[in-house]
Amino acid sequence: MKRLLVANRGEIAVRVARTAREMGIQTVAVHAANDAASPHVRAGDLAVSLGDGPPSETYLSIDRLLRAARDSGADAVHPGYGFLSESPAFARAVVGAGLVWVGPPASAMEEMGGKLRSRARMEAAGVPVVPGSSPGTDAKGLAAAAARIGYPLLVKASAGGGGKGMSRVDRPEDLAAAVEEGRRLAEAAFGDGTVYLERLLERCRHVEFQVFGDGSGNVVHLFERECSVQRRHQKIVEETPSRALTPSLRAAMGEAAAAAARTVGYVSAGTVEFLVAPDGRFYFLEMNTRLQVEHPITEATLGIDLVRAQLEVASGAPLPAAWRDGRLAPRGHAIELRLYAEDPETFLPRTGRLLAWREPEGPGVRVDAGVEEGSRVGVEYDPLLAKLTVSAESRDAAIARARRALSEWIVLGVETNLPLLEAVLDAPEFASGGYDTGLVERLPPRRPTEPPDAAWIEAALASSGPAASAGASTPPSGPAGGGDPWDAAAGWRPGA
Amino acid sequence: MRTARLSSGGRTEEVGLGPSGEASLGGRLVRYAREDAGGGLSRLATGGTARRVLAVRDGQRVWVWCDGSVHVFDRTRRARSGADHGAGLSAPMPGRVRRILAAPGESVARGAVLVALEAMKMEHAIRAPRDGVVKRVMVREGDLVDAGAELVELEPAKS
Repeated sequence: MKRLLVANRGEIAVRVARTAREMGIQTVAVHAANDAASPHVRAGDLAVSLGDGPPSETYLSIDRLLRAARDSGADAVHPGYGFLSESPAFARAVVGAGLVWVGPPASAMEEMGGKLRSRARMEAAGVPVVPGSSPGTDAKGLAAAAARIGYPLLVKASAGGGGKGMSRVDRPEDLAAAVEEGRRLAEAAFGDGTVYLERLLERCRHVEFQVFGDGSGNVVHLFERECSVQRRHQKIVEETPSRALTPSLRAAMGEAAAAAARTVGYVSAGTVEFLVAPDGRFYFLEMNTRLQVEHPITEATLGIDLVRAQLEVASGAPLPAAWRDGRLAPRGHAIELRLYAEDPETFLPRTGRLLAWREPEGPGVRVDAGVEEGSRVGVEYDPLLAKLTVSAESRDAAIARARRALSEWIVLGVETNLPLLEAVLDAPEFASGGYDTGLVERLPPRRPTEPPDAAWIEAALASSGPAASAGASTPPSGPAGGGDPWDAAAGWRPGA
Repeated sequence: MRTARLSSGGRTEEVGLGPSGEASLGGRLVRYAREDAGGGLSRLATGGTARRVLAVRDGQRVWVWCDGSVHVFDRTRRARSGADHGAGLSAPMPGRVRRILAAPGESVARGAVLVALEAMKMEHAIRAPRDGVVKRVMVREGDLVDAGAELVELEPAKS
């Protein structure tokens, strides 16, 4: 591998390019025309434009990506996460073009792609799955299955996803009506009225295991990540180790995760997600056949580089001996916090230009950012701005470090979820470690803090300074507060 | 003394600045000292408490970072004109107009989806707040709109 095309943007493209450079591999950055000034473009040794258009015609266009690879002389492709990272078609096209695909085989992605298919596959492999029925439309058959599964349960659309067409049933007498409703919803939403039943597990934790395979048939797990801090079913804070796991549960889940990956002939980095019920039982949820957003916490506690391992394995190397022999042991504690451009209360996306951007620094602090001061945050891409990963000797020290780092982070010009991240760290439920996926919903409402006198005064001083957005393309040059407050400017009027 | 009229979080204040470290804030006199803290930040002390601050102005808006918290101030004029006429429906967030499900002249029931807006990975439905008749649709499918942009004008239903 001499030249790696990174088929992604944002922080993950920057992150992959960094490791490639450390390994002496050149990188090719790709970008949509409207994205040419983004930091990931400069992170590459070469940059190729994917042309104009929405993501479907740029970062999601297999044709344009392959053309970029050919034009730039790349010999390998790393897909990052999101976009085409879990597309078997892209993996096949890359391999078909004679390039190295840095990821799992297309067949493994397909096996794990469909929820029902992967579920059946896991059941056969002896990995516990959430008790459920097979898909069907027959009310009588579903009623019999419901009796076996137990209540409460969910009626789910076979063709569905993302919570669409799902309804909850608490009592057997409500089942028939819910199945009818579910069939109607599924038919309307997906054109397929097939539904299935699944046990509804409450107050669960979401714990995933990093797995890694090589081309020689070695598959290992690299411990867990606790991912129960979620909003809108998306993770915002992850930590490792998880407080929910005892050593024996950890061992059992790790083995199940590795077995799941082995069953589909997994190669490269992947993640097996589980639900852990309050009674300590765990259930296979799904497998993500790519590098995860939250992979840095695993790197922090194990002292490894998952992207390096991906590139080595893709080049044909076996897993490092220490990994194969189970000699890796997590050390200390790590927490990742995701900074999103969104309203901390409603979670609605926010846009704008980053007028000030100062990242936290110091011991045990890692920032993976896809933006910088002056960056425009638009509506076309994921609202993830950056990830903060902190590591320390203990969980308490890691939480204190995370708080300190957040307090250093200066982000002006675009509203972010930083107050929500602080609220999570401050929640007694989070501090106890005994939280579940309902944590964010139970947080008290984030009331905006009243500006102190100093903020009012600084705002009044800046009010007369130069506007940061006066020149559309030039980044702001320092604080506006340095301006002479005696300049008569718009918004000012002679006082009484 | 010069004054700026600023509002933040629903609170509006006249802030006056005197020539030598005195400010009036909602009628109170506040003495302050401000010094360069390096790196573009300042240290602003009031009432015995020094805080690190960084402010950036963006048009009529001023963003202030103050010891770990962000405060947003809008510069407002004394006389507020152009009051909300209450009939229009505006975008709650910036985004792209995915679908328009209402046509001028059409009667719509309260709760009906008029416009589907998409921003990043989310779709947001703009619904009729009451029964009414669509008077005007100000956007087209595919348009990029800012937060607050007027999308649809709705007239009360004729009974």
